[in-house]
Amino acid sequence: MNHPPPMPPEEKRYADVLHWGSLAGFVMLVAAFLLYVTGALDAQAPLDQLPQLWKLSTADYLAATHGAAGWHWIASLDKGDSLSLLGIALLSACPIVSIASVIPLYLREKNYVYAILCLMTAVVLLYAASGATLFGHL
Amino acid sequence: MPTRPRRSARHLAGLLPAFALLAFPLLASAAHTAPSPDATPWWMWSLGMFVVCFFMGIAAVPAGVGGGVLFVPIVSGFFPFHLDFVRGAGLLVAMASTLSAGPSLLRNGMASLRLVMPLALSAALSSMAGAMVGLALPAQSVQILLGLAILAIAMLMMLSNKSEFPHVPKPDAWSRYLGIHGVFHDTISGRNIPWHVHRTPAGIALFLGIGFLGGLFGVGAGWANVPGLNLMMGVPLKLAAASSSLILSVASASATWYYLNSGAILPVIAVPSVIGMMMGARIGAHLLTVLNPAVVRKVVIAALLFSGLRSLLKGLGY
Repeated sequence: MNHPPPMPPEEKRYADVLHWGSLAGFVMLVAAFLLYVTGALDAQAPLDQLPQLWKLSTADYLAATHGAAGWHWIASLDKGDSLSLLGIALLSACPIVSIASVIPLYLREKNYVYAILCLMTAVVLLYAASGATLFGHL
Repeated sequence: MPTRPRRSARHLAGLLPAFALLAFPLLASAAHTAPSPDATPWWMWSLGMFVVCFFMGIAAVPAGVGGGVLFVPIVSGFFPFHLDFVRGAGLLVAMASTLSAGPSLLRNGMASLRLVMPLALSAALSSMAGAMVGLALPAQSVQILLGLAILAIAMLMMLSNKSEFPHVPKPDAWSRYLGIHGVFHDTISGRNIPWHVHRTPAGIALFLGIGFLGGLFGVGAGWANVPGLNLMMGVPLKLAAASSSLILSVASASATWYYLNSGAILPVIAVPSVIGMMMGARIGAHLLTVLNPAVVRKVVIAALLFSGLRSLLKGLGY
């Protein structure tokens, strides 16, 4: 019987950040969704009209609900559906924050290869999050 | 002699989620072909998503697949939602499951960041590209390709073997440069097992392809990650399964952002699916000792064949 090998500090930090970040995201997601479906908050697209709307393509759905692609939903967080999207955005941000959090540890170890790999991955995710990839679409 | 009743109980317990998995698409199909699916109130569809995802979660864990690969073909084949919204929800389901599992996998020493990061970068880049292509293509074409891909995945699951501790004669130059090696603690035997990998460039190229398909179809990539890590790169099976989960969380996040920014995520579809899948997966993990994984795996393959065929026919206009 061997003792488990010690956990590298970067894996510990990644796990901690991912744990608390995803927990916060789930709580936000569920709370916002409850406010949305119970009618406590108004919705950008009324709930009772959704069965006619969710069979449309994304572009047609946005046109029918006077919505827009990108981060426009952030301006209407008083609406239940937009607030639910904030929970989804928080969850999607967890890998970015977790990866970014280990870069200083790799730099301290002088492990520049992994510091650069993490930086590149975080940049790819930030680029996807920025909405810049939508250029030419929709 | 408790053996026979215990075995029967195992088979029955294994078949319970299996029946549900196969029965729900039939019920959904019946509802969809009813005179006016628009007349069904929104909350019934949301509730249906929760229930079907709950059973998918139970079946996915013992079958060794992520939820996304079941979610997209079944929901797109049998629910009235546009494929764009189904794929957006599928990616969120895949990402949420892996986010919740990730911390404990790392803390238990089951996953390695050194293995994850180079492959996650590769998969994140191509997953975003897959999402861009997927939302730009006509939905009917994607539906046909999805049907073909799901049928191919079912065949891959039927044919692929796994190796608990693959033989890696010599680490390749890339893995030596990147330091992709470590010691894996096997909790069953209590032994520390040193591991290293080979064929790293081929692995990175493979994850480019896997990430692209994951983003294109919104199916996640657990079905391909584990065989790729285990059979191609020589990663021990448990380490491969756990590290696959972390790679998937990064790759799915990149595509999820694209779908979110495109407006292709509807909370009434995505949120009940995420909650149902996560609750089901927790129960599936607890039932691992009772369920017969081989039986569940066969039923999942049958469900994939059935829903893949349905996707293909739907895409062809039947």
